Amino acid sequence: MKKDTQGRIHFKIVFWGPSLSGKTTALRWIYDNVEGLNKGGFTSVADHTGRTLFFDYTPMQATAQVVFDVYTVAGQRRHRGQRKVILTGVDGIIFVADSSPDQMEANIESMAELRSFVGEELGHSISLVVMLNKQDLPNAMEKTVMLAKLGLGNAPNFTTCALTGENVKRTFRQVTRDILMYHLYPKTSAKASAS
Amino acid sequence: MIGGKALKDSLKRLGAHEGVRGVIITNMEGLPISSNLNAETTEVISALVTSLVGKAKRVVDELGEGGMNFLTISTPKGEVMVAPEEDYILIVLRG
Amino acid sequence: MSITVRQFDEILSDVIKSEPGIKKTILVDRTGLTIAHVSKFSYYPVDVDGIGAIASAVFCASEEQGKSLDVGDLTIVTSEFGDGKIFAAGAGKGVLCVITDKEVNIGMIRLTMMKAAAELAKVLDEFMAEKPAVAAGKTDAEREELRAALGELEKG
Repeated sequence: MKKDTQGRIHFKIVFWGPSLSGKTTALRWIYDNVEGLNKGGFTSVADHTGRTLFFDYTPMQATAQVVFDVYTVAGQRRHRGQRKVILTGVDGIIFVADSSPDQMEANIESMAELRSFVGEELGHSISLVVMLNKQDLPNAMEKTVMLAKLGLGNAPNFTTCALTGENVKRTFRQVTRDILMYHLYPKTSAKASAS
Repeated sequence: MIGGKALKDSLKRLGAHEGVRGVIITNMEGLPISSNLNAETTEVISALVTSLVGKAKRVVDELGEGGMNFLTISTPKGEVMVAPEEDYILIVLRG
Repeated sequence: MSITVRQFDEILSDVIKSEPGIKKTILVDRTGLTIAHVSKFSYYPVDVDGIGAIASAVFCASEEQGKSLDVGDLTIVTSEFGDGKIFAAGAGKGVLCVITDKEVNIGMIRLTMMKAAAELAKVLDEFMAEKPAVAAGKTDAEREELRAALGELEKG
């Protein structure tokens, strides 16, 4: 949580997850479809095919005084350094897991990296919501299996399809709500166990 | 542009003159190319003198003087001599 | 406007006035949040928040790169384009970003930025102390704002 010079409160939300799991697609869907949030520009550092090289960023204003600065990270392994930079000062994370069975290892690796960067704070002072994306795939992995493998059995989660936007808004609403609840009632609202 | 060796030689020659405290060559962006002073002093002098040369050029243009060949600033310590060329500026501190 | 906020604007304006060719100055923190910005011309249509976010990220990424190469602290990142330049200098907990025309006195801009960055670093420390990020120390007004945001989100 930060305050800017106009006194507005800012919270930083980061979409995290392995390469091609749907982070940018989900943010783009929110940007294009969710009404009621006053959105700023959509900044994207991507290659010519649209793959994120560094991050996407868009500010979303809930009220005149509260702004969510929403980022995605570049998922490819070699962008570890960039991901660490984007994570600075984060208040809430949406972990976008890919439900294809052949991506499970990449999910686990991505989650391990996230834990190594934020440690104990995950699920406490840093809210965490899990998006089990691409659940529309015919061979999509089962939700409980995925959560168990990721060690995220207690984290709030949604099965989503970022392409169609299914449950994307609910995921986003959950993380914004968790962040606000944590800051309103810091002691009682630690929910997701991320250990 | 002058070559590396020729540049070094002329700097040496200038620096050997009596009373010369420093010789700097800077590009038109205020970034030093060559100097016999320490890095920090060189950076400051290059930046400030380049900025001054820009202003002085505007003055002589306004006055219709047909360009600037040389600029000398007299100071209690001596002189700051500035020779602006096409791509670089030669600065000599003397006295 | 508090004193520190005015100080940001003053320092940023001084930078713009210091050299011809400077179009815009932005102060952004290391999380990418734009803190203050000043333009030379009142109409300069850029997405300041987006530019600020990139400036901060690029500077911090260069810093990371420097750490792995063990080349000491990073002072300034310079990006040169066909029609202009972008400079980013570390300013304590923030990053000072300066956008200029193509033809500028880089040496002078570097000096000005380093001086301004040192001042901004101090003011930024005061500013951040003024606005504590800890959850415990919230004012009633802040709580009210958070509740209003919560209500707004429930609606959607």
